[in-house]
Amino acid sequence: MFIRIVKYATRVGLIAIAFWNIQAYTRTVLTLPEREVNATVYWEKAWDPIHLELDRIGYRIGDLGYITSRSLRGEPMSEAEDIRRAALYFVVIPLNLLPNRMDTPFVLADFSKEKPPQLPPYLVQVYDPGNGLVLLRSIVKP
Amino acid sequence: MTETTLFFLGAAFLIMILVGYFSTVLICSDGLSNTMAWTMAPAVGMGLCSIIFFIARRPMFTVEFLLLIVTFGLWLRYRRKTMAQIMSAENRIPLVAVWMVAALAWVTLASVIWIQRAPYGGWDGWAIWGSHARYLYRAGPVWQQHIRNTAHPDYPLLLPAATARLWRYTGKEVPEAPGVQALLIAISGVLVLTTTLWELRSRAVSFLIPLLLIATPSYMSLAVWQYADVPFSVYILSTIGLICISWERDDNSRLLTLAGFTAGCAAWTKNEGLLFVLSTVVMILLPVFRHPAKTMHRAAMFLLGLFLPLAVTSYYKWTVASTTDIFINRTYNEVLMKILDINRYFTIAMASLRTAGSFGGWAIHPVIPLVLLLMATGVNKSSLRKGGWLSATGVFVLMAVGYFALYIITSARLEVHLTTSLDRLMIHLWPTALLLVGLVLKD
Repeated sequence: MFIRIVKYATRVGLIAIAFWNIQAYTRTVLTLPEREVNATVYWEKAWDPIHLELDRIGYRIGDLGYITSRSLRGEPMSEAEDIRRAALYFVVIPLNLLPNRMDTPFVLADFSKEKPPQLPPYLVQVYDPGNGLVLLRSIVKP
Repeated sequence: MTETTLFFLGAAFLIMILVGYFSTVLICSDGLSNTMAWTMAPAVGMGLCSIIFFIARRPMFTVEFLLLIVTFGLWLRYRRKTMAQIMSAENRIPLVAVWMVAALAWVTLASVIWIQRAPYGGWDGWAIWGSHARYLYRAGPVWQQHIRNTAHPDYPLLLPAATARLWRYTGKEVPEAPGVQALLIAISGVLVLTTTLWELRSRAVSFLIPLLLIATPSYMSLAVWQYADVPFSVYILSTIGLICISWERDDNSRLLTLAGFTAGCAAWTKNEGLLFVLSTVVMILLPVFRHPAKTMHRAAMFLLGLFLPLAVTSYYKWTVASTTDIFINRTYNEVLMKILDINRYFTIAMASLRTAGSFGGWAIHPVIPLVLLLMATGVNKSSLRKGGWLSATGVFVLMAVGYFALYIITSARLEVHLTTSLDRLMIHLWPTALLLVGLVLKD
């Protein structure tokens, strides 16, 4: 009889613990930010107009330089910039995003946090959709 | 998502499941029940469709439809065998099954919300697996050159190819598709665990143990993050489950062919799968000195199923992928120094102990009531002596030892490597651990 009660109690305990853990999972889901706040969703949207522009030009595969205001000043990338670069690397596929490179046919400038006073002479603005990302063309090898 | 997109996405999943189901029934013939075949179908189908996408990119639809028609035709001819078995099976479902189904439905709903809010998954989900899928889909015939630009081009392509296949069906990239696919496979894993326990033990515990898997938050979250770890764990579980059933069902070696295929799919999913294949082959070959003919027959059947996915993995590794980072720039002396460094063993052991308590992301760890249940019900000693259980436990132990050894010789900084991967490695083996416990619980 005692064994039966223990068996029953452990089974009930296991089910209760399982549901408590499911409740924890549910809470995690409910605290997730809205889709629009998701970083990758944001960058996908920001990249879209530049993607269309590159598509129009006919540049669909190959290398794509990547710069920020800090990298133009010769400073190393900040942690936040590095995270943004990783997200953009995924977003621009099959283009290959190359950080701190300006010798590629096109360069993607991430000026979402800070815009430089002026661009280097070998970079020409091609398209600025106004969301912080700017498409540049490299005219001579730096 | 438009209705047309939803229709084609549904069609892609349906074809994948049907191909998996018909193939499972045909390979196993009367060795498996229909229910078990359905639960295995998503994982088997995903493996097959992923291979078809990799081998036959352009005529993918033709090959898939042909396979579907051929397997369907053959199934029509052989289905009576499996159906007869279901009719004779004991189908009294215990009350705890209702709890399990309710929990599964709830967690599925929560996961769908998660996928809607974070459609690209977690960091590794998009940075590795999503990137690979995008190269396969977006770079067209030159993907082999360009996939080398990804973070880990040596990682095998089961998951990315299965995702790119879904996008081929929808005609565009549907960001939610890989998340839904991963969720389907995670659910399939829970059901494989349930049906394996039910087929072998037919007890309430067959539903109680899978409830613990559903209630492992990390298992579900890694799935919706689109990491390859959950599909990988499902392939391990399926292989182990099939091996156990094969041993307990008069040594049905046809099941070992399917086990070989799922083991090969594990290798096609993650690099760790090669270790799993090796461990499984070693355990299958172990009784060779006691029963040479029988063992060689078993091994041959297993290798038969293993051949296709392993050949595809090897082809990818040799022709496209770069060397795995664990083998890059290594010297004999450096590796030897690491092997002889006792501190590394201690660090890994301590990290393993710590992570064992947290890898599931539980609010309450289920291991204490699980041990209590084991003590209350007792251990079925005859189950402990069964060849299937012993082989499965052997594979489990070899995998654990293999993971330990990889940490010993890793080229990465040990602490960083442990912090970023140990919990996921434990998730690989968690469903199998639950199966092994469930199999030895007394009625």
